[in-house]
Amino acid sequence: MRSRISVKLILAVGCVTVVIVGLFSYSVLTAQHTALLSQVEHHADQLSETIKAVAKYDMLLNHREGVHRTIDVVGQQPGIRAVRIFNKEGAIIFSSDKEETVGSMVDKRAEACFACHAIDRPLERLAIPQRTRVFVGDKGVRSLGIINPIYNEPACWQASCHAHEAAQKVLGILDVTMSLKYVDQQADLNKVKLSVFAVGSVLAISLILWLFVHWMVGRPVSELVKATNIVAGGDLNYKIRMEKADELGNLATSFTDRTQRLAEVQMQLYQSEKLASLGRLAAGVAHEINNPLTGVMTFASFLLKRADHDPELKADLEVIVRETMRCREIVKGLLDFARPTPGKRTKVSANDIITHAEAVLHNQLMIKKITFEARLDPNLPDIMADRGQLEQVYLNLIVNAIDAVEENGRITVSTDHVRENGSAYVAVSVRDNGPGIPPDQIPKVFEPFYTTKGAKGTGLGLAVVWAIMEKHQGSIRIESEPGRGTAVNLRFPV
Amino acid sequence: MGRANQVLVVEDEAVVVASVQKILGSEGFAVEAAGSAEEAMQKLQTGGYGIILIDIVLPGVSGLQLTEILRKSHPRAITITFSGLATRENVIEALRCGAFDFIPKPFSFEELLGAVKRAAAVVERMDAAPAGAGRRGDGPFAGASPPPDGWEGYRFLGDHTWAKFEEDGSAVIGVDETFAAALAQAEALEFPGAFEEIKQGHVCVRITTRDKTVHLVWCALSGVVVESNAGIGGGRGDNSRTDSAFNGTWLVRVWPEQGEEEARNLRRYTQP
Repeated sequence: MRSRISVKLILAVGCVTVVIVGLFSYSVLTAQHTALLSQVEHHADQLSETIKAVAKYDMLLNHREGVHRTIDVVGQQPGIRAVRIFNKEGAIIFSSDKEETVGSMVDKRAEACFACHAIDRPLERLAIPQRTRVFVGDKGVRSLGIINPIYNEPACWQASCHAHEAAQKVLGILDVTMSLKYVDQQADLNKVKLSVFAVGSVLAISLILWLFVHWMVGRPVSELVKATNIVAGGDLNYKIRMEKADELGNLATSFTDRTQRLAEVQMQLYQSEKLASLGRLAAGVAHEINNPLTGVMTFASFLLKRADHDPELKADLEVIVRETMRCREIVKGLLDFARPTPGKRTKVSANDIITHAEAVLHNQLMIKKITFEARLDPNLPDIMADRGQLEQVYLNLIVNAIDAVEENGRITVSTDHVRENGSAYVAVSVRDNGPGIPPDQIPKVFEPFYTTKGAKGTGLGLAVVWAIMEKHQGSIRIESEPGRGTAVNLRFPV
Repeated sequence: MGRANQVLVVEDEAVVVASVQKILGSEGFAVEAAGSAEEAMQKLQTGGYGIILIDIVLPGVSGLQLTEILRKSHPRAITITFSGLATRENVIEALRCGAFDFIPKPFSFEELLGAVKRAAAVVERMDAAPAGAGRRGDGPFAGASPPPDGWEGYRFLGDHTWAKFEEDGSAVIGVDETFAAALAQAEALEFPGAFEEIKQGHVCVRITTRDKTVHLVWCALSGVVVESNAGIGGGRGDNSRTDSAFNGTWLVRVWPEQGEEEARNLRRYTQP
């Protein structure tokens, strides 16, 4: 069903979108975070260098209060958590953070100290990333700390306070700790923005996808489903309205074709059924008629025998006997038609039978001044058929054509040897330039007792023709347009 | 004439009975009627009928069943069936049940007379022959000596026609002595056309005689017609297969269809 397809599709695409957007967001966030952090690091380093440079003069002059003041001031700046100096042993000498006691030791094995102090001898120059550490302070605030070793210089160990020896490489560590609150806030903001974007895009994509599926797939599919239900319910003539040229349009077209074919086949089966039941009816009726017919024939014949002396009486009785014989033939014909047996088959040439039929109807054609044209294929193969039945067929069709055309009309009968799809057929066509048959009447013409000839017609003509064609495994098709005449096309397998 | 002109008609349609009486009465036959198979059996106990005309469709016991019963109970009476529905099935079944002939309704004078006169001739011969001569239903006319090549290849459709399979694969269909008179007097013979397909249970040959009787020969075997003995009739023609009392005369040679079911409808020669 439509909803399941679109739901599946939306879920699938949605998941993929979520994953992709998620990965994207994650990498963007990470990159941003790293960039921000790196910025802070640089900023911290810069600050640290600045402090070093500023405090240097105080240190050289051994103005400890000056250094302290500098550190304090800087340490109170917003965003700066603490500035400390610890000596080469790791004891805190100065700290802007009043909660740290002077003299307490820094754990050399911790954090960034590790970078230099991992091996026995400390390294002397380090890159920024190795000098920074990110940690969560006691108050739960994330902080970045950067250490800046204070290297010994000649001016230092030559200073009058003699605090340091020449051999000492690192006099102490300036440690600046900066709060990452801003960075984190930014990061959080970014996260929110990106999340909103991600969710928004997933929703937007889903919506667009849903609309698309609904329009391009869902509606056509539900049309098709509706059509199959209607057809299953019995209406084989339902046509799907679909103008698209894509696969679904093709599906709709082929579906409609199939159902039309089915409708045709059903019609034919129905016809067969009707004719079969008509046949049974005919058999029953014929059987009944034969009894009284026997009586009439016998007594009329008797009267005829006794009427030799009276020519007028004899003539009248001859009419009766002749017409009763005719009744017998008609009933026999009806029974032959009704019988399931195939009749007598011989090799017949369609051309011969047509010529014979024309000869039989010659007078009628002349009287109505109808032009009769026979286009017969000289190399037409013979077919195994019942000669009498084929004669019936052609007589029937030509008589119908005669009845249809006006005076000076034209009837054309053509025969052809046709090859199609690997099979060979004898194709016969009876064409007239009469008024034609309206399209809605065409399926009806084969129905027994359908006639446009009023009292003259029995309506059995085309039904009989149809049955004969079926018995010969042939086919019959009518092409007609009002005003353009009618063509009856027969096909016999060879 | 004895029994030969005593006719019993078993038919429930009054008009048909009247027609039969009219036709046969004018030719010297005495016709009585029974409206049902039961009534017929009753009448047969007292009357000495030579010929019994039976309509297939009867109230109660069907005409075909009656035919079968009479074959055993009255072997010296000839049964002829007639019906308004002359389908192959009905014809074959009737002949198999022992009918001498099958007349389709409505019948003309000539058709009814043809069959009945032929039957009358057989009755006469039977009455003239030694006592105890078998009914035709047990085989060809009693006392017939076998044809030169023996009875082996012969198959019979009831008592009506026979078919013989030849070595070359074809089969001939023919009639026996009972048709001899008709053939001798034939004025017109309608044979099937060359390469025409004929079916077991259809009429294959129609004989019209000079004294205006018509005889139908029901086909014993389906097949495609290869040759017709068109020259026969009026005393001429190929009598090469004729022999003594059997006097079989072939009429049509076919390339047989060899249907299984058809073979079941035919029987071999049995000694009376």
